[in-house]
Amino acid sequence: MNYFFQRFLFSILSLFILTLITFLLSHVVPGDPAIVAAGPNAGAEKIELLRIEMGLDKPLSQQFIIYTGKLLQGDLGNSWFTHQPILDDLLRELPPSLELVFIAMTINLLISLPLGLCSARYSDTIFDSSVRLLAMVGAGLPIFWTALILQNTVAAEWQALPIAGRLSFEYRSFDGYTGFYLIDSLLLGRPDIFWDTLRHLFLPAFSLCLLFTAVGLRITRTAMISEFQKDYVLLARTKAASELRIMFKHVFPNGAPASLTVFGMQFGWMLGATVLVEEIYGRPGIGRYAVKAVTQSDIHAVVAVVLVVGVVFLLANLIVDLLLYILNPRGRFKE
Amino acid sequence: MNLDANKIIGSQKRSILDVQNYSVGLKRANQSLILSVSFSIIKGEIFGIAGESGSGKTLLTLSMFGLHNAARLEGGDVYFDDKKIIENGIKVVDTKNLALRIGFILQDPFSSLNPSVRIGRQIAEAIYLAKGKSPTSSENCAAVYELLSEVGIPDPQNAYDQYPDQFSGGMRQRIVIAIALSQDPELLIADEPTTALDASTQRKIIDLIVDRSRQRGLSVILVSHNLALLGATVDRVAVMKSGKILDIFNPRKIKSADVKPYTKTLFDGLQGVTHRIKKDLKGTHEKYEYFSSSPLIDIKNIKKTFSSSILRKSANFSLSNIDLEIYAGEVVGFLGESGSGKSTLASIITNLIVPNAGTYKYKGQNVFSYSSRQLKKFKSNVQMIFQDPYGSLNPRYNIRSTINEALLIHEPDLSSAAREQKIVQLLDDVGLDNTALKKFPHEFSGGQRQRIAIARAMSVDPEMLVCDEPLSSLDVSTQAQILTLFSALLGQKKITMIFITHDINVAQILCDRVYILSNGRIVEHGETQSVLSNPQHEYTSKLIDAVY
Repeated sequence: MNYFFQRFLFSILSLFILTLITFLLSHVVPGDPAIVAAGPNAGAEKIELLRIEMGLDKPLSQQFIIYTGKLLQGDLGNSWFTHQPILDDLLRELPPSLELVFIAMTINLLISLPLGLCSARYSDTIFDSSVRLLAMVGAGLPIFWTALILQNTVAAEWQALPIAGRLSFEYRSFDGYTGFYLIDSLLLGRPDIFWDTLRHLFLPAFSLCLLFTAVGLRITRTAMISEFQKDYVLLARTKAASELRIMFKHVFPNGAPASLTVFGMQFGWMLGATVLVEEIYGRPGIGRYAVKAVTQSDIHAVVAVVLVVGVVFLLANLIVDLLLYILNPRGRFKE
Repeated sequence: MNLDANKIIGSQKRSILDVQNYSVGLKRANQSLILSVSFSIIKGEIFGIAGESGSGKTLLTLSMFGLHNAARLEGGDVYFDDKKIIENGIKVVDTKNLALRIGFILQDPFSSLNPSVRIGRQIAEAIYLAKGKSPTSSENCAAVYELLSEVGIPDPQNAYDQYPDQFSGGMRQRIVIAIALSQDPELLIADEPTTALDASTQRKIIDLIVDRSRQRGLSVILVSHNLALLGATVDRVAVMKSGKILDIFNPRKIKSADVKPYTKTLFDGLQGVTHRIKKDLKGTHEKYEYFSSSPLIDIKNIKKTFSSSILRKSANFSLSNIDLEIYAGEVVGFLGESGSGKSTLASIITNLIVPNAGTYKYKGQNVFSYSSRQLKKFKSNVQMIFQDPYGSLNPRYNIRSTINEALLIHEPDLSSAAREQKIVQLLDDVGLDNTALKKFPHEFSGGQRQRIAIARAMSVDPEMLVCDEPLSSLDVSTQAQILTLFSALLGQKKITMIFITHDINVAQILCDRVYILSNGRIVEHGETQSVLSNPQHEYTSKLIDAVY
């Protein structure tokens, strides 16, 4: 329990620092927020009124306390342009992005873990060299470029998968409780919509994960190679354990934690990178929302996006750390 | 009559393993490492393989059974239980079936158990693979309990569910032995089974292996570089050097055996050196006035506690109430097992770590209140030689720069020509020639590296040398050479020395006085001979008993 508590405190501290940074962020951007919010034609009086309304006349420390207090109540402020609460915007935009990242992460894990393990087992063979070469190429491809190429070939030329959007036209009126179409379609008993969602997700998710997979694969390979060199593998061989048994029962559980840490961080990075594929595949999502907010100088919205991505990043890492703790028996009994 | 005689000879002399002209290389190198080796092991025999590291002992034993990934078989026949397993350098049977009939005990029990699997399950897996009993069945479980108690693990029921980290090295090696025995093998191969263990544990493990095998009628191959151990344990021993077997003989009859000179020196080893050095030292040593009025080092009531991390406050190791005095010209030994606090104490003496409490006076002055100038002087007066001669030399510095660096710091006034001359002289003192100057640490053997480390330490003419297990990473014959070098240095220079070791033989050769450490305390101290011949403390006798 001690460890969980410590880890939790650590996350809270990180969250606090993150909040402080995002708060300061909104104050260092050039231009007076009141002037920006009031619009180009506002007079000095209106600007002054807005300044008081926005609390900008108070000292910075007090502003921060007010800001944190509002955050704790789930108030991320209103967008200066839509005048809607930003929280509502985010609750609408986050599920499609998270869905995308989940699928991308799944593909990532499905490729990099087994391939990394095999590559380590057969290290320095032709198989391993080709895998490493592919990983190098994968790591060198920019996400937007992969996305464009795949869209152009797989979707447009071969028509194997949908070209853009979240759902096909015939399902355009579909709506569910959670905003995660994969979950909603199952809850409503619509496997056809589930399948349609998945088809729409595949290309963007694949383009998004490719770069991360290349990294994950290399890390997994390195971690597994060092496990294969340990004596317990030799001892398992002397027990007459089959190579498959050695790979999956002995090496994998010991090597996986090293990669798991990286995958946890990748989750957050992926969410930050969704903008690249969301734009190309015309998907709603937090990335697109962020771009729009930036181009409109909607500073509150930008700050909120930064905060939310940060929180997801912290959460993913928290989960990974707790998972590692549970998976690693050595950590448990030292309590 | 023929029939009967054959039967008797057959049952007595049937070999379990027969190796004929066996050669092996490595996949990535063109050179053969094992050159046409032949030997055979009789059923029920305990067969030793001796040799220094790099002589090919491990490669030989692993490659025969297809367990060495990088091995490239090059030729020869190998028979296991009269069945051909290797024909002309080609494996002719399945490794898996063979592995079931052979038990392996590997060198390092800290890495040979899977850290994330309960130890009971690791034994259960072996039983499952050999006999098909499901690892969760009660039958399998009972077999595991029986094995655990057979190898001397207390409370098997409880131990079953524990992880390797919860056991000491010796206990882990017992678990590995249990795994090896669990498949009812016909041949047990123990590859340096005690090298990674403390002296006092070594003997118990070897006794266990020998006991169990004799009881079960098992044949054993015991690979070791510890000749005293082999001499006391095995029926016959093969001496390997550079991939060849030089001699095979009964070690108890070495005096009458017709062996090559290398084997002779190897087995004379430390004992031979002991006598020579003792004779050498006798004359020179009395010159020193050990017990001059005040001690060189005066330590009172030193305490040092380590906590493992900032968040966890458990103090898992400590030194407590250490008092010691060392006089100029003495050679003082710190004896004890790993974890007893020897190295920590040495680090305090060299002022590398600061204790939590206590006083430390060097030549009557408090070390902890030194000015930075005094500290610099102190650091050149007290030099340290480490256990791992490779780790302690910077791999990117050639030997000239390594020694030069020390000289530049501690004797900045020397001209470059004088420095060069001094470096050459120093290397000469430790038995190396000029060609060493331009070479880098990796180009030297372990023994040569330790010589360089000694030269570096001596370069600043220190008053005191603190040697932290300087021999333990070296081979037996190299150990003897380095010991001789130390004794020569003691003869030539007026120097005080602290010698940390777990090896009682070494302490007997070099040290005037010894301090015995256990669990962070000094349990006994005094003149080497009197302490070791008449130990007062139980721990000291334990250490002495463990020696072969």
